[in-house]
Amino acid sequence: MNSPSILIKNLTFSYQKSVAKIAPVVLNIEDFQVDYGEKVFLYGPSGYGKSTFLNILAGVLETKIGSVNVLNNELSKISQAQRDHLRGENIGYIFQIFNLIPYLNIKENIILPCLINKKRGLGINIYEQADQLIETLGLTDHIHKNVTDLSIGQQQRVAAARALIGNPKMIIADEPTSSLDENNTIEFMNLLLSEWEKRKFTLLFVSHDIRLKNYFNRAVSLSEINKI
Amino acid sequence: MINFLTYKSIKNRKFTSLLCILSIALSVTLFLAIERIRIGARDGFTNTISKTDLIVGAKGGQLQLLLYTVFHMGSAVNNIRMNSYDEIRKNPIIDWTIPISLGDSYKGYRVVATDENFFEHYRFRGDKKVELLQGTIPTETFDVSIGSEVAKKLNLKIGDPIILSHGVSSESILNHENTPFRIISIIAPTQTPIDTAVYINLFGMEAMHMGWESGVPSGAPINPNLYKKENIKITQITSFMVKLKSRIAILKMRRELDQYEKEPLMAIIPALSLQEMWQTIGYVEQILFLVSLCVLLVGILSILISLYTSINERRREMAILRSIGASSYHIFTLLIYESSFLVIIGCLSGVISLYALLFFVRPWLESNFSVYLELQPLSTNEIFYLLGILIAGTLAGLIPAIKAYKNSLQDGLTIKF
Repeated sequence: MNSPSILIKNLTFSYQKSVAKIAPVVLNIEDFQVDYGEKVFLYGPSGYGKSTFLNILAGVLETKIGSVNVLNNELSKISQAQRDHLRGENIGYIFQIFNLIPYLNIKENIILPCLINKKRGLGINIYEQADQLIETLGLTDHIHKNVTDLSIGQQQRVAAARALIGNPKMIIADEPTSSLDENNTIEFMNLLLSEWEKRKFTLLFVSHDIRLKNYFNRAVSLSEINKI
Repeated sequence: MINFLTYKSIKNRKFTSLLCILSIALSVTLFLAIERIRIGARDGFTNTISKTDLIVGAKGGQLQLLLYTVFHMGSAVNNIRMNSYDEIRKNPIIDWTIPISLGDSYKGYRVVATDENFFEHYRFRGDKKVELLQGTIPTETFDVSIGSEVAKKLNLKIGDPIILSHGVSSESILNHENTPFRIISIIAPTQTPIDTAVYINLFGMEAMHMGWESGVPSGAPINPNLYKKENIKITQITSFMVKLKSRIAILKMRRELDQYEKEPLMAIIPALSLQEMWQTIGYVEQILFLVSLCVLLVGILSILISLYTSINERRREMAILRSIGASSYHIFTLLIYESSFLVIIGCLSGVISLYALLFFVRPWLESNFSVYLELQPLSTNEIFYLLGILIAGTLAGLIPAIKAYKNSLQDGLTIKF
């Protein structure tokens, strides 16, 4: 159970546009590890290669130098399609804003990951789980609204529900509270962390708001691990 | 899954999607309708006369012979002597002949003098026969059978006496006042030039010109006894149609007629001449075809434009889909599905409105332009056209799909605002 969810060794990454030009190195991480079931706060002001880092962890960007292991998969050794499957089946992802597909309703947005990946949430009733999440996240009253009519706080809660559906092994939250006000931030953090208490997934929470680190066992600064 | 997203996404952009479907539907309808009318007009034209192997007339223009014999347009320069006709039709390889004698008119409608062979043997649009709505075929000297259009436009009925005019111009001032004819039958609509003609028999033609040897009435009274059929000697006809017992003999017979010694004759094969003639006037149909093709192109472009312009505002959506496990390939298929969905629905609605349109314009086309359209199912050609449109529409979706694919590779999970 305590095998690492994320294990990075000597990762170097640059956006290679063509063979002739040598692109500047964006990321250089010698050692980074997140254990399974751990909740980690990653302090990452913009300009430190944050989105590159997250794209690599999610398996969207391909790495050539060093080792990135996510949920026991060496990402450089598996194909793009396999990385897409890994992400779809095992990782929940929350964006900063505009998390929802405008033409789907709340419930459709929530269960969408399970529709795209048949293996996600295999063996559980995702519709029931979606209803439970809607209730726990206090969205029951808004269920008939268009997602575009929801407040940003509500939208982020729907996004959290979508990340949680099908019990993924890991959730990556990329500045999920940065567009929320104080109250909504607290509410969101409490909901997310109470879900973490229940399910004990690996939680990598990225934010530039250093105050939020108190919610976590461990805080890491991207500027410290990224040795460029 | 992709089906579900496609459906939802199209539904979300209801208005633009509807416009796309509408423009495809309209262009499909227009394209297929023009195709049908084009083919209907051509078939109507080339099927004005069928089964007849040869048309024979005095030497002159081939096209002219076809025009005055079949379409009642223009007139002959020379006639054929009756004894030449009588001699030729005795040839044992001939199945039947229909004599035609022209030169007079009734209120602008041509008078065609013929005999009972016309009613028995003349065929058009495949194997259709000349049928009478009421009455009998004109056998007596002053019997006349009128085309349906003539009856309708001039409000004529059986039993009405009519005075034919000399010459074919509608302002003819010389009338055959002394020889009134009587309508004894009306010919059922054929959507061919028969509808706009007046049919008498050869005896009537000869009888009304008695005393007109100089081209104008002599004024001298004619003994009514002379109008009796047995007293009339038919001296000439304008042209005649020939059907041979075997089609193999057509070319040989044609050559023989072209080289007929007793008078200069000429024979044409109507099926060939009609086709040649259609080709000379057929450039109109090619222009129509091109125009409808352009309209179709615009319809397909509308899909390309609408999807392409939506790509940028949908970058966010694509990043979200990527984050929950969709591959770039998924994004690509989503857009291809959208374009093909729009084209399929567009084509379907286009075909439906084609039939609706045909249903309503058919009678009008038939009566005004003699274009006869049957409400038949889609032809193999039309199905090929539709398939082509589907493929073209899907290909139009390729361009935005490739763009979205590239975007999604470039953006990854980074949401562009």
